[in-house]
Amino acid sequence: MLNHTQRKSQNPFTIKSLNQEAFQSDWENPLILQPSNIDHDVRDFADVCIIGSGCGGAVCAKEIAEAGHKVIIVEEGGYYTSKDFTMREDDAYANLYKDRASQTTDDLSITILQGRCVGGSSTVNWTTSLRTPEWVLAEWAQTFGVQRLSRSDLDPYFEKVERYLNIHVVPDHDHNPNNRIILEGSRKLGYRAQPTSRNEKGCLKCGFCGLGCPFDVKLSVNLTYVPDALRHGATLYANARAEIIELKGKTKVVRGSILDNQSNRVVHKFEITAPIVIVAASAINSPVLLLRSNLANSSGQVGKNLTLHPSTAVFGLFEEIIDPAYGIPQSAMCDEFLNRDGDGTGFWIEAVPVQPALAAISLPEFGETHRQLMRVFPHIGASIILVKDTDSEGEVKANQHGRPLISFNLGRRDIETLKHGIKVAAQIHFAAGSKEVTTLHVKKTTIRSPAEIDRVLDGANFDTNSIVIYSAHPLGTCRMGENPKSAVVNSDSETHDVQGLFVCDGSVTPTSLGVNPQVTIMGIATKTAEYINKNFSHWVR
Amino acid sequence: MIVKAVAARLIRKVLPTDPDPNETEVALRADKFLTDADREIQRQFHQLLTVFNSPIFAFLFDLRFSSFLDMKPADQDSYLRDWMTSIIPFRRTAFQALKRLCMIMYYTDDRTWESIRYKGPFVLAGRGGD
Repeated sequence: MLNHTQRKSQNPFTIKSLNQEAFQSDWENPLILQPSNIDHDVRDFADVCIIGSGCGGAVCAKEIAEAGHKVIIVEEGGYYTSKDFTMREDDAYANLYKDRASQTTDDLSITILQGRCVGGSSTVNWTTSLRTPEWVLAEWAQTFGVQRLSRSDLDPYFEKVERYLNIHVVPDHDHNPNNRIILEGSRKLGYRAQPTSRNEKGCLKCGFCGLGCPFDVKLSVNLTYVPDALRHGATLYANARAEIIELKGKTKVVRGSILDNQSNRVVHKFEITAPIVIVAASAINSPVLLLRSNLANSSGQVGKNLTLHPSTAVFGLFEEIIDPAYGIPQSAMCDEFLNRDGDGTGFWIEAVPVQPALAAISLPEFGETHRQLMRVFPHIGASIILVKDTDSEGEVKANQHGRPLISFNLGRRDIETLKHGIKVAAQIHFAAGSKEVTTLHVKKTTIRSPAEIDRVLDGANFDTNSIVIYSAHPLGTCRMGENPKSAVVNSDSETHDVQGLFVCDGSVTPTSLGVNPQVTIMGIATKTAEYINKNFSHWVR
Repeated sequence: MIVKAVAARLIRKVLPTDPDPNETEVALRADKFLTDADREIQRQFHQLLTVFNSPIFAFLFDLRFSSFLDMKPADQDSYLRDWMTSIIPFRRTAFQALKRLCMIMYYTDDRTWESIRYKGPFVLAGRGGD
């Protein structure tokens, strides 16, 4: 029994959570230190300092703290709980996303959505939880010499993550109309489509996962791994931006700033000394930190090899109400065209929840035409096409102020794959009953029947900023491999250059995954933490 | 001033009940957004607005003889379209930056939601809310 409300700047909920078994995010924890309870510069010591509290950092923190080691986590973003999750785009983008959800490549052609808060992107993702495809891991072994990371090696770690986060396949009766477009359209066309798996317990299907779960039922790491790490003695500094890592013999010193939560103004400095440092600040920020620190880059590969899993969307117009903002955001996928020819290329189609601002910046044109497109908002069905990067070239550098500068040029092959994906997504929408399909080209590009698909899209412009492209899966900028000349970290995620310095986030994947990455990152992090625990005395004497 | 004028053309009232971008203070909120942004972003956006409104660049790009602010509404629409579809990547990029800023400020304001039949956040029935 749901109804709707509109209320300005106030969380409309009067109850905390319906799922009493789930972790409660409003529990008082003195081990989360925020600017409000820090009144001086900080000097602290740990066995392990972890930079970043997302899928990589949080998992390492829990596993290593549980083994009895002293862990300190520093997180640039703020600490927010379900009390702060108002289901409003303005609040969520300002508080929970990197650059207020406006992080882009240097030419503004690709918007890169990333979490910037305790829990990182897991706090704002749509819960899709999929293991790394076996053929991707095989490519890592063959091309990059990655060892002990085959699917059979990783499966026990994936199972551990899945058990802990209650990851399970979405049941048939739980799909919203937006996801049914993919399932029904694909079925009619004979394409393989299936439900996704999600990390939740007691989901109310409100649709606002991307703005922070207001019910504490999405089992993101801010509600699971982070609290468990803290229960085992870890300390977390929120609003703490790591700026440089310095080596002092075998010890490392992480220096940075404590930031005011609202203005980002520096209010204090911190210095954390530890023999083991795990950089887990994302594929955008981890390489920038290493570059600023002039560490671990003898290969010259730090910041290189960025993959974005670039995606665009189609919006189908339906007679019936779809209400793409509500229901489980992403419960179905069409995986027919990923690695279809066994060559490791292709695309993947998933549903995408659509809130008003996201729709407005994505839809074509402006003025009256744009208004008319927005006016049919409840009748829009939206699907995204995610391309597994092959010949695109991306890099993250530090700009003159030490901030990330992201460049990305879509390769010809990837553009062709993107175009193919749009065509298939349009077919699926028509097969599911769409009256017309609009792409995200800046100039209105509308297809009115399946017969028009090829003609319209073959004539469409795919130049930079002629079509809206997003990424939520940046990867690869500190890639893994056994050759120190071509890889930043070894198969245990330890940098080739510096003993006791690990990278453990999406940076380490040697290639694009083709699927949503959170389980891959968590599985590798679990394995990395196990390696650190087993060999702890090697770095800590 | 420039953002306010741009927003007025990017976001059009079609029905009398559609909120006007002025009512929703798009330009004011955009200004606050930029004030909170990184200094580098502020500097780049200032440059963008300067070029966008410059009569010199309007002449060089499109053989127009006035600044955006001095153009008639129909000419402003045509000028915006030229930027949106330009063969020069910088102009397309600049158009996208302006569009994103204005659209986010407008459609995150809940006064606009009724016009697109978006129902907003929901509550469990009988458990509070309005």
